[in-house]
Amino acid sequence: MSKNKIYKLIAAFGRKAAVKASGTASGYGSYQPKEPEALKKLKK
Amino acid sequence: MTLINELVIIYLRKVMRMVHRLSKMIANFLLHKNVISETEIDIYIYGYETIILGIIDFFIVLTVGLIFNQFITMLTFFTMFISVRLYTGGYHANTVLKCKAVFISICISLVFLSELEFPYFLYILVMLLYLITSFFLAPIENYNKPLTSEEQMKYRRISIAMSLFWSVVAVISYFFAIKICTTITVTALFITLLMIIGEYGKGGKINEQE
Repeated sequence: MSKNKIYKLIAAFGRKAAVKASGTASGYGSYQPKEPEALKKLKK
Repeated sequence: MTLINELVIIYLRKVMRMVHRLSKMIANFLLHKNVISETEIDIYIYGYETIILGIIDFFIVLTVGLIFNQFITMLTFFTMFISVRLYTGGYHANTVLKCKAVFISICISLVFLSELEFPYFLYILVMLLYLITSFFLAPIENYNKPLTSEEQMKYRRISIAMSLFWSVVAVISYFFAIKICTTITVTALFITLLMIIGEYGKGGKINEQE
């Protein structure tokens, strides 16, 4: 697997985690990081 | 002893600040490699932060489970806590450090409480309290994560369904696995308390900044 493919995979993983987290009411732990504005726009 | 405590707190603070820095580093690296765009960098930072915090929580649960030899108890707690809290919301600490301190305290309390056996009516009472709280309070909105009215409706339905599901599991498990029943009930009690504190205390709605 080329390096670029690995980077893309890491990026996709991070993006998926952000989108998944935006589809919930809150983080399950007792800390909630601030949801970025860009993600809110993406949801719309 | 005080000096040791202070050193531990300073060390933990540094570790927790690293979570944000590490997320930023990964995102900046990907930006530098032209894999992601600059306009979306915050999305990736948020994503990596969520992943790293999740990994830390999993390790806390794993460590407590191994130290106290309560792996199944901790696994049951973690499964319920994640699946429910994602939709009910509730108290959130204003720093990662406080968050982890609360989470570790909950894990350790659960280990000791799950060893006890309570009268049947107490299990029913706690699960009823959990059901009522979910019905009237869920989802609890957080300042860092505002919800639209559609989202509120959706998460409310999921929260009620989840509370019904876990209540049924608790009632059934009472007859053949009392420890699982106690674990579910104590976890439900913690989730209920976190919901109440989140709604009526200042914990759920304050802005969280390091």
